[in-house]
Amino acid sequence: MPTDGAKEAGRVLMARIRLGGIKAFERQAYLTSACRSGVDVLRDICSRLAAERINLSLLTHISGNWGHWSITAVGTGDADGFSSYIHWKESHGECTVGKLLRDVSMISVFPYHQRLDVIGSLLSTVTGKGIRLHGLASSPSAVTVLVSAADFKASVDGLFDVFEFPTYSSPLDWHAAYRDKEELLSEIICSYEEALIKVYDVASHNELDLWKINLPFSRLEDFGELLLALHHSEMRMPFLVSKTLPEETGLCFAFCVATGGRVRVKELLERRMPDRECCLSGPVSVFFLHGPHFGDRYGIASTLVTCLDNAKIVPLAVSCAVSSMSVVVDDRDSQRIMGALRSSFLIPGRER
Amino acid sequence: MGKYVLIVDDDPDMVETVGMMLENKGFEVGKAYDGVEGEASIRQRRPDLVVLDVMMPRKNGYVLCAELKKDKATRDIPVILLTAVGEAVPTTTYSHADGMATEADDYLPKPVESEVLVEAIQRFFT
Repeated sequence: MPTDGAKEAGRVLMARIRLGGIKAFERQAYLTSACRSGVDVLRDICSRLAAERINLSLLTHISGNWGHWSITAVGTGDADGFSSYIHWKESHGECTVGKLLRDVSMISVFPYHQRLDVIGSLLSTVTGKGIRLHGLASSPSAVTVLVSAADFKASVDGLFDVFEFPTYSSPLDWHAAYRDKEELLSEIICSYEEALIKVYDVASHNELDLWKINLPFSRLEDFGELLLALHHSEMRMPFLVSKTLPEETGLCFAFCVATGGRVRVKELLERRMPDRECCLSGPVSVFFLHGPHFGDRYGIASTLVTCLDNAKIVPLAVSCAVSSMSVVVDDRDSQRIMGALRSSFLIPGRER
Repeated sequence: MGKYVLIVDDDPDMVETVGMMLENKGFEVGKAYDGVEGEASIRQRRPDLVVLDVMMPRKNGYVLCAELKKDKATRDIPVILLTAVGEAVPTTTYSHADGMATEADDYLPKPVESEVLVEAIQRFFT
């Protein structure tokens, strides 16, 4: 096992990865809800927030198969929308509503091109600075971390240790530019009026494995190192979500890699994390839907979840981040899902 | 080598989606994620066409388009403004009139279908 000093030296020696930019949303509220298997709050919470015209800035979901918790986490612009939901859930007593975080920041780096070195470096640099991660989520182009407001500046500054950005030579440059654009989109959010929700594109990957692992906070940096090792095996990760465990002892991760890498992933997990129980499901497919302001508009995720539910397709994992929705389904559902999506979304051309 | 199209949009998923679509049609694609970066990219390598978002940080698409059209060196680069400001968004201060006033060569309100965008781009090269 490498020492802390060796890890630090390794990071310093590693060339910085060139990316396109950083996106950030501050002052977000974030709620995690967990249910025992057989109960799922995904459709419920999405439809309730949509009915109240509340935009989701982030949604992640890991289905509760394998006898584990089903965990759904939602981010919105403020905490008000959660109050009636929490009250209702607690009165029914079937789920655990986790701590409501009233001031979190979402920081996305892009484009990540499904690269494990980007995710691994992001994870390692943030957790290596002792910053508590509340979650991660991928979109087709970006990977997003959730941190407390107090850790926002340190998190952004840390990105410049491992990444370089063409138009920002330093964290100071980025912070200065970021402060200028805060209110840019506020006027159009909530203003969309469409009979049928238009989608720019639907893309998919199949022949994937969905892995799930629970990790204590103390092991997150090690997990980042594991992802870097997978990167050296030339693997890619088109899907990743994580969120706080119900007991708030760590994070639950769900990620997809090609089924062809199953042996390598298993070997690395057993060697580097022999004490952790992993779950594997596959083959699965991941579908990406990208549309205008999908990250800002209310009701989009609810429409997705409802149409899947109506078609009796179980989303094994979901990530709605930046301006896309990613949904993981069993390969056996991959033919039916396009029909389900077309019932609720206007999808141009043919799926890639 | 195909025509070089620069996409300028602060939505990274949008840039990747449109970029992949255009690459599949044989275009060479450049990417920039805000108006300032877009302008720098245009100065560094002259594109054959620019697909330009309107609402972006640091420098919005209207301003960048107007600057390009005022500059002798760049005024003949075709610019397609691509924006969420359309029929789907009835209440905003960003209007079609503002878009046309920038002398953009085309103006496509989002959500635009991918085939429509590709056709709009290809019209400048036929």
